Parts: sequence; structure tokens; C-alpha cells
Amino acid sequence: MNISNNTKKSILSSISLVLKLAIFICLIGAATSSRLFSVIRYESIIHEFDPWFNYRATRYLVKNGFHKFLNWFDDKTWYPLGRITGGTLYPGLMTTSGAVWYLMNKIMKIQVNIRDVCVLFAPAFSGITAIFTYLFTKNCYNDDQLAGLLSAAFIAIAPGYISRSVAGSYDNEAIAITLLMSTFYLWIKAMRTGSISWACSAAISYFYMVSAWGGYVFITNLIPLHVFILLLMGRYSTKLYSAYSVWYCIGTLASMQIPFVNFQPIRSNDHMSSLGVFGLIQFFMFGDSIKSTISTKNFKIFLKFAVIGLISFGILGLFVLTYFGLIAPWTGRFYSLWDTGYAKDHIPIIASVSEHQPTAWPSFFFDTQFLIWLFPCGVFMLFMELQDEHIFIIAYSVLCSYFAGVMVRLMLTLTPIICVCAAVTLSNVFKYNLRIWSTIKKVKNKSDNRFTELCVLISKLITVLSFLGYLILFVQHCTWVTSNAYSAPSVVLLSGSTDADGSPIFIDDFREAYSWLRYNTDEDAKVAAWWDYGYQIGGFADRTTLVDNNTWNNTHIAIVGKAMSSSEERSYEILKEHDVDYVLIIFGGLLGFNGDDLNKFLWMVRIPEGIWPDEVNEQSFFTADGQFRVDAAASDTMKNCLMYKMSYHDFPGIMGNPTQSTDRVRGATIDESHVLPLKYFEEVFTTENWLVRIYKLKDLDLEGRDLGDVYDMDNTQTKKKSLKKPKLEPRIN
Amino acid sequence: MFSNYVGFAIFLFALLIRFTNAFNIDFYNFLLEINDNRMVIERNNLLISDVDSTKSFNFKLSQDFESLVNDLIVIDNDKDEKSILPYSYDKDTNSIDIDVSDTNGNEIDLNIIIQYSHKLINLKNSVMKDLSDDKQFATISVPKVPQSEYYIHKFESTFINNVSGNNRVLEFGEDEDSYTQNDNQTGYTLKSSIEHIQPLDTAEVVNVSFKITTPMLTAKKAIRNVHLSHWSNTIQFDEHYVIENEVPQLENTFKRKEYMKYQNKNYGQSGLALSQIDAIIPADSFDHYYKDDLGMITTMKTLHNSRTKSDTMVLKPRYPILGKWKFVFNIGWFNKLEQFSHYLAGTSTEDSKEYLLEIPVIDGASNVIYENLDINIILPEGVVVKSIYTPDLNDLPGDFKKPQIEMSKYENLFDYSEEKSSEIKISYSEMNINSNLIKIPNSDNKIFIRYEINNYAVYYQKVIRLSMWIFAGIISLYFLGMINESLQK
Repeated sequence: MNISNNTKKSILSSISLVLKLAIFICLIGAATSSRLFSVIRYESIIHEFDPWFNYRATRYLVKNGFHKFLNWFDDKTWYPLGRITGGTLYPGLMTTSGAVWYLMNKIMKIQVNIRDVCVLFAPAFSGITAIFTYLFTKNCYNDDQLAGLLSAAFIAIAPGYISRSVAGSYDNEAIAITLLMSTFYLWIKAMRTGSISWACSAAISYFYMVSAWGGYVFITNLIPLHVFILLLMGRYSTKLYSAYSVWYCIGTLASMQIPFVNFQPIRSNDHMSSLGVFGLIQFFMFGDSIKSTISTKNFKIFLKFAVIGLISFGILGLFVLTYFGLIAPWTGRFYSLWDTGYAKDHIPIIASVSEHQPTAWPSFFFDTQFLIWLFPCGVFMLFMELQDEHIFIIAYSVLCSYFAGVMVRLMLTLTPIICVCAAVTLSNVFKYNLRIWSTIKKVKNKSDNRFTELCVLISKLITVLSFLGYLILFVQHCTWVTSNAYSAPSVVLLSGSTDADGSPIFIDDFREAYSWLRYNTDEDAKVAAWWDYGYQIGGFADRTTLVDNNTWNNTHIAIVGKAMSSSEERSYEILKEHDVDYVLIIFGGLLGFNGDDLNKFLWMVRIPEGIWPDEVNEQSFFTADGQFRVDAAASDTMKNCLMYKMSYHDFPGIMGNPTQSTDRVRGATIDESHVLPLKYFEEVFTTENWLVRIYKLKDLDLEGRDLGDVYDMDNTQTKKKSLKKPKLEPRIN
Repeated sequence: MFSNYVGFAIFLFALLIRFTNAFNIDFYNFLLEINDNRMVIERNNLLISDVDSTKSFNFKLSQDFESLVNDLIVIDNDKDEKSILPYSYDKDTNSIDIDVSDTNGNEIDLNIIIQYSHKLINLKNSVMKDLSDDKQFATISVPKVPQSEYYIHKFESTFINNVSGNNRVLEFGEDEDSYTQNDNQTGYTLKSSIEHIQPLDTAEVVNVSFKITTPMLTAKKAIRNVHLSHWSNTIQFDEHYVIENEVPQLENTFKRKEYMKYQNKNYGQSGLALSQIDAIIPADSFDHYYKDDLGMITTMKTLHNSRTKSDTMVLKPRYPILGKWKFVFNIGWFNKLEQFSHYLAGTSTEDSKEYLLEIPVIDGASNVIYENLDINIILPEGVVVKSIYTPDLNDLPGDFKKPQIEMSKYENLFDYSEEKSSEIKISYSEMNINSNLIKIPNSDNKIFIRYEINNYAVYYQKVIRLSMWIFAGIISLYFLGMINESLQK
């Protein structure tokens, strides 16, 4: 039976489509399932800190509807200031998960808890990210499907992305990376075709991104940078003009609909590059139309003056508008991107965040394994061809490589482009080396250079097998890293030991304390804790907090820091002024948990020191030889501060020795005589492993006496009562 | 001389009342029993003479009927088969009128058994000084002599303490000296005997105290959800509890070091603080969970006991539950449906099958008193409820303290048809259900629901619908790909 070529093509195309579908289903399956380690090992739980706010906000949205959500004033945070939550968040994440919940519950009739939607949100979106990465790579690199599929496979399981998208990691990044890739894909599509519909789609995707993550500024700057480079390279075209103009106008107008963004796109320095490029491209369009009407010589003169005038006007305008406050100055986070020491000197609150620290070199390998060395090869290959869309990838690679180097959290934005470039490299490697059949034919033909062909065949086989080996190792590495490093919820800790029946023993102190707060304190009780735990207290315990991870008010955080680092009497005054009922601290001395408050304590000193240098002095917490000690050698200021007293209250004497205990984090011996008694606060709850300790502010004395005096008086009376009378013995002379 | 006249006058008055009221109580045996889990049962045995069957016998209650009486039953001991006598409650006099018209002769032997609410018990101290102050007492106030319209020839009262681990010791109010401690070993510890009690004698109260050695757990709210699935042949139980430990609260605050010391001293025991609770659940259960609003509680253990044909979920709270602290949690498990739903072959046809669902009112936590209990039974799509039986859990007259039953439609997994799943809500409110009492085997403590299922709706409808959806989804993806490829060409 003869089958025509067209039929053959049609059959092959159908098979190819089915195979592609199967590959995508497998990719989505791999992306989703590799992120479920945390659910299997632990449970369906929201992780870490920020996700707790997002979860709480989503619950509010689902319960109260979108309108109330946007107008939500939260009086349970930042007491007594409160927070205009609806106007100070990126609602994209919450509205998407709310919509998913609504779709499943109300339309599809699948009864799911909003918590489960939130927990599984990031894994579900990682599959979509893989699809957009495929489309982006394919469009950027000569419609190469192999590169596209490889990049999709890489992003599906790369630890650099998984680190922020495991089940329970319900953060803005969970959706933002998907939107980042979709916006870039649509932008490339718009730029290549000049199609207004693709540009509109890119703008809508950009709007979605703006609604979801503050990192949208990266897109706001990268796309203009791409256009700017193209303009500098003389690659202006009407396609570029229509794509950028449509994207910028619609995208900017749309982004301004997000209450938190508001007028920033036209008033903030972070956004000025896109506005400037928009102006520039208008000028290019104008110049392009003039070029056809005047002579080349005149046009060159016109161009020279116009470019100089335009740049001068732009820079001058920027300075003048910034000076008059019409354009907001650069933010601290922006400066710290260029100067890694800037935050420590000027904004300690930013420097105190661990994810804002510079990236350690091993992290690059840890998060991307062999992709990291394929990455520069890919960039080089793209550089050799240097098409318009290749420039986009190069610009993205260079910018993000730098940013990922200065801030560890930006590894996340670098990972997709590493996957894309590595896929480009590997695609070329495979394309060349997988053509084995033709080489075998040449070897069989017994031609003159048979030996050379044989060597080529062997080298191709070695290369292909080596890279297959690398790919297998990559999968193993990704699985290991995801399973062991990125799947812990941080709220629950594994003790490392197992029960008699082999089940793991968990250290669940955080939830123990939050549970106690939730069920045994007044609903309007105010809890003071370091800002790290604000979101968790709100989410788990549903109690009012003074500060939280939003860190919008440095002074308020400084107040809590000041209370923690001041003497007990002064702390009591500060906390009473803020209606605080309970103080919650984290103490890892018994368990050996090194992320406790004493290890963060110097930030609690530095932040208020920036505001009240006369009252808080970092040096006074060090010993004479400049050491930070907590044992007998600790400075008097240290021993007298609230954090020290609360951490070590009742601690000596619980490990066998009646008067001493060892702090397992700091390796210090804490003697009973070092820990001064608490006079203004009383312990109300300490968890099983002493990880979380909660203290209550004592009520004011009914007779108006100072609580310190009351304590001293009571203590003296008790001592007096327990004094034994000396036996009177007759004196015999 | 004058006092003789007065005495004679009183005697005449008593005789007058005795003959005008018709009933005389020759012997009144009063027995108050304090059992485990704060279960207080009063047994009144009355030998009555001069019965006038045209009138009803009035029995004055010593405690408020509406708030403190959980159950009250009147038994006529004279008949061969002891019969239960009807009675009505008179709110104005807080008494019951027992219908004795059906009795034989002019003498009756009545048994009036009253089960009281845990609210009858008051704590002697409202606070504990510290954790080692774990010898706490509860008190019950009872009248020293019964308040009756009738003359009582002889009255004997006995108090029994059956609370385990209490050395069977009951103590009395300090000013009380008319009771004698008879027998420590048998548990009949306190007795008094009084003769010639005149009608409506002065109400003198005596306070009985007994030791508390274990947590006093009250479920302020309990919700039991039962989901049936014929398709997967499983039944899921999900129970939500808000439990409060009603022992005295600590005078000072909770200090971990003090608690550790207390435990060291008492071989790991936690005294009046709740550190573990056992939930006895049906045998062959699986997929257990134990959680609260914050997530899973990781300390659960499940034990299978083949001897008692039950499973036990050992539940440790996140922290020791001290006096007046709350313990909020959810537990859940699955069983095979056939353990609870029985096929009724006699009334079934090929198209529709009938089943009888038989589930206990409660499983779950032991040694708990339930103040409010809601049971929600969710039957799958395509089920028609034929009849419902719910135990009253008391013999009180009228609708007083009877369970409320509601039926509504429930949107279950993939319910798309008009005929949604059914939800049967059974509410026991202000009932003070004693978990230990209700778990007595063969007692009237089960809910029965007879229902009919439509085979197609229950077994095939959802599966076919879902399969079609998945197929449509994949095929549409394929067609989208085809269109995309043809557009690219």
C-alpha cells in the first residue's frame, strides 16, 4: 500500500503532537510531584513566614469578597497603627487562589479547603511555568523545540525555582515566576511579529505580574533595556515601535489600577527607564519619518543635536523632578543592589533579613547544578547569532547574574534564564552529536577517511552518553536538594530521632505556643515579638501584633527592638504604653536551635540605635574585649536587658545541675547567679522544648507602687519568714 | 405545762395532714452515688401506704429540674415486671406528679432514679496554689431531709463514692456531724437515719465533698460529621471538640520548670492537667488523623485492640491542659461501610437497594461530658431517606431535652444533579451527655437511618461524568494543538 508524503507528514505530525502532549503531561507531573515532598514528609501546611500573611489574606478574601478585601483595614497588625492591608499588598496571588477555590467549590463542586488550595498553589503553577519556559525558549531560539523542551524540563525541577515553590510555599514568587516567563514570552512574540494583539497580551500578563509581585520592576526595566539596546544597535523597526508602545501604554495604565502601585509608574525612579525609552522610541519614530523627507547629511545633523538634546533634557528633567519631589527617589532596596554594604550602614532592617545577603558561590551550583556551567556557553552561542530576541536573553542573563550575586533571593529570577541558556547549549550539543546514523553510514561506506569518521562517531557517542549521565545526575541532585533542603516548613522541625514504631518525632514547639495563645488568651490580646514572627502569630494564633514581616514602619520595629534591649523596667514602660499583654520570644538554648532571638539580638539593638543612639548603644552589649557573650562574662547591660532575662529565666537548673545549665547554641554555661529575676513580667507559657517562651506583663499595682519595689518587698518578706530563729542557749560563763 | 399543749397541738396537726393528704411514706431510702466522670445518680426508694389512686403522687425535687436534671425515671417495683410510671413536671413547685392510678392496692414501692448534670458539682476552691496543690475537692449540696408534702416515717440516706483512685472517701461540710462513716471498704461510706419527718420540713442543706484526682473534661461543643460513600465502600467519621478542663485554675501562671519538677516527682504524671486522652473508636478503622486549627498534631498513636473489638486513638494535647484551659481539636478516621450499613434484602429491588445505617451517637473521646453535640450524617447523591431513629438519651416527658432533627441538601464532591447529597443534622443541646454512660453496650445509644439508593446515581453517574470530562479535556488539548500547528504552517 502506497502512502503519499502528505499523509505521512500528517501522521507524523499527529504522532509528534501526541508525544508533545505526553511530554508536557509528564513535565507537569514531575514539576508538581517533586514539590510535594513537604506534604509527604510533614503535612499540608503553609510554610515559613510571609506565606502566613498571604494565607490569612486569602482567607479574608474568600470570606468577605473582593470589594471588602481591597478596602481591608487590618487593626490586628502594627498595633496601634494598624495596616491598610488592602492597599498595601499585591493582590494577584490571593485573587488567583481565591478564584481557583471558587471555581473548584462552586462550579466544579470539588469541596476543597482554602488552605489546601494555598498549599498546592505553587506546585500547580510550576507546571504552567514549564510550559511558558518552553514557549519562551522556542520563540527566542530559532523555533527550536528541543531547546524549548529541555528548558521546560530544567525549570520544572531546578532547585533554584523549587526553593520558592514547594507545596506550602505560598508566596508571591509562587505565581510571579510563571507570570515573568509568560510576559517575556508574549513580549518576544509581540516584538517579533509587531502584532498589537500579542503586545496587548504581554501588557495584560505584565498587569497580572504587577498585581502579584513587587519584582515586576525587573520587567519594567528589562523590556525597556532590551528596546534601548536594540535602538542603540540601530535595529529600530515599526514592529518594535508598535510592540513597545502598546505594551508600555496599556501595561502602565493597567498597572496603575493596583492600589499599592498607584501612580508609581510615572512618579518613581524605578520606573523612569521605561518612560524614558517610551519617549526615545517616539523620537525614533519621528526621526524615521523625517529621514524620508530630508537629505542624509541634514538628517545626521538633526540626529546628533536631537540625541544630545533629548538625553540632556531627560537627565535634567529627572533631577529636577526628583528634587521637587515629583518623582520618588530610589528605594533602599535599590541602593543595596548596587552597594552590598549600603543596607548595613543605612537601613539595618533590610540587612537583617537573611535572604537579602549576598549569595555564597556554592549556592549557584547547589541551585542549578550542571546548568550553571552550560549557562555561559548558551549566552555565548546566542551572542554569536545575536538576533533581536537573543539580545533580550543576553541582557536578562547579565543583569540577573549580577543581582543574584548581590542578593540571595534573586537566585530565583536567575534560574529561568540559566535553564533557557543551558537548554540552548544542550540542544546544540545533542543536535550535532545525535546525528549518529549518518556517521555510521559514512563509516560503513569504507571511505578514505573512515578512521576519522570512526573517531567522530566515538566522540559523538562519548559526548551524548556523558551528557545523558549529567542529566541523570541533575535529576538526582534536584530530587535530593528538594527533598532535603527545601521541603521543611520551618514551623515544624524534625528531631532526627524516631519513635518506637519507627515514625519520626517532630519538634512542634512553634505551633504549641501559637495554639496556647489562640485558645487561652483574650481575643484582643496584644503580643509583642520580633517582627519575624508577626505573620505567624497573626496566622496561627490570630492575635494582635505590634510588628510583622511587612516591615513598613522602621520606627515601630525599633520600638520593639528597644523594648527587648532595654532594662526590664524601661521595657515594661515601653510595652505598657503600647497596650501589650504578652511578649513572645524564641529561645533555642535547650534544643540547640540557632535561629533564636538571642542570635538575632544585635539587630534588635542596631535598629533602635539608629533612631535613639542616646538610649541604645550596641557597644554596651559587648564585653570589654569586644565579644558578644551570654555567660558570666556578659556585660551588665546584656544581663539586665529584657531579652536576656526572658531567655534564661528559670533556665539554670533544668539539666541536672541545680544551679547551672548549658546554652547549647552559644556553648555558654548559664549560672543561676547570672540571671536576674523578672520583676515586671511573669512567665505564662513555655513550650516543651523551651523553644518559645511567652511572658505576661504584670498588672499595675493596685496601690500604685512600682512593681520592682513590690517584688523586692515580697521577696524580702518571704526571706524574713523563712529565717530560722537562732536557738537561745544559756550563756555559761 | 404549756409546752405539753404545744406538743399535743403539733401532733394533732401532723395527724390531720397525714390523713388529709392520703399518701404516707413509710420508708424513704435515699442513695446518692458519685461515679466516674462526675456522674451523680440519685436513687429514691419509697414505700408508700394509704395510696389514693384518684390522685397523683407529688415528689418534690431537691435540684432544679430544667437545669440540673439529665434524666428521671419512676419505676413501680410492685409489679412482676417492673413498670415505668408516667409523670408530669410542675415548674412552679419544682416537683413531679406521678400517675399512680394504675397501681394495685393501697401500697406502692416506688423507685425514682435521677441522673444529674455535672453542673451540680461545684469546686471547693476556684484556684490551685501551684501544680503540687493537686488534692482538690468538689462538693454537692443536698438537702438533709427530703422536702415532701407527705409524712415520712423513716428516712435513711447513703452516699456512695465510686470514683476510682479516691480511696472511696467522701467528706462532709465542717459543721456536719449527723452522718456516720460506716464501711470504708464497701464504699457505703456515709449514712444517716432520721425518723418522723413532718411534711414540708425546713430545708436544711448538707455539703458532701469528694476528691478530684483526674482532669474534669467538658466538651463545650462537639460536632460529629459522618460521610458515607457507597462507591468507595467507606464511612468517614470526623469529630470536632472544644474541651475545657474544669478543675481549679492555677492561682499563678504556668511555669514550665515547675511542671517539669512536678512530673519528675510524680513519675511523669501530670496531675489535674490533661496530658493524654483516649478515644475509643470502632475496630478496623484506618486513615486516622488528629489536628487542630493550626494543622496536624503529631503525637497521635493508634492502638488496635482485638480483645475489646475496638481501636484506640491515643491523643496528647499540644500542651498540658490546666484548669480552665481549652483543648480544641479534630479527630477523624475511616471504616468499611459494611460495618455500619446493613443491606435489607427483604425490601430491596434490582433497581434500588435499601440499607439500614446504624451508628453510635458518639465514639471519640472518653471521660468527657458533652454539653452540646451536633451529629451531621451526609448520605451520598441519589439516596432517599426512608426513616430516622434517634435515641432520646433521657426519659424526660415532652419535647424537653429531646434531639432536634433537620434534613437538608448538601453539596458533596462532584454533585451536579438536582438530587444532591442529603444531610441529616441531629442536635443534642444543653444535654450534658456523659460519654461513659452512653457507651454502655446494648443501651439505647444508636442512630438508625433506613435509606434507599439508586444504583446508577450512586455507583456510575459520577464516574461516567468525570471520565467524560477528563476525556474531553485531553481531546480538546489535542485539537487545540492541531489548530495551532495548522496555523503555524
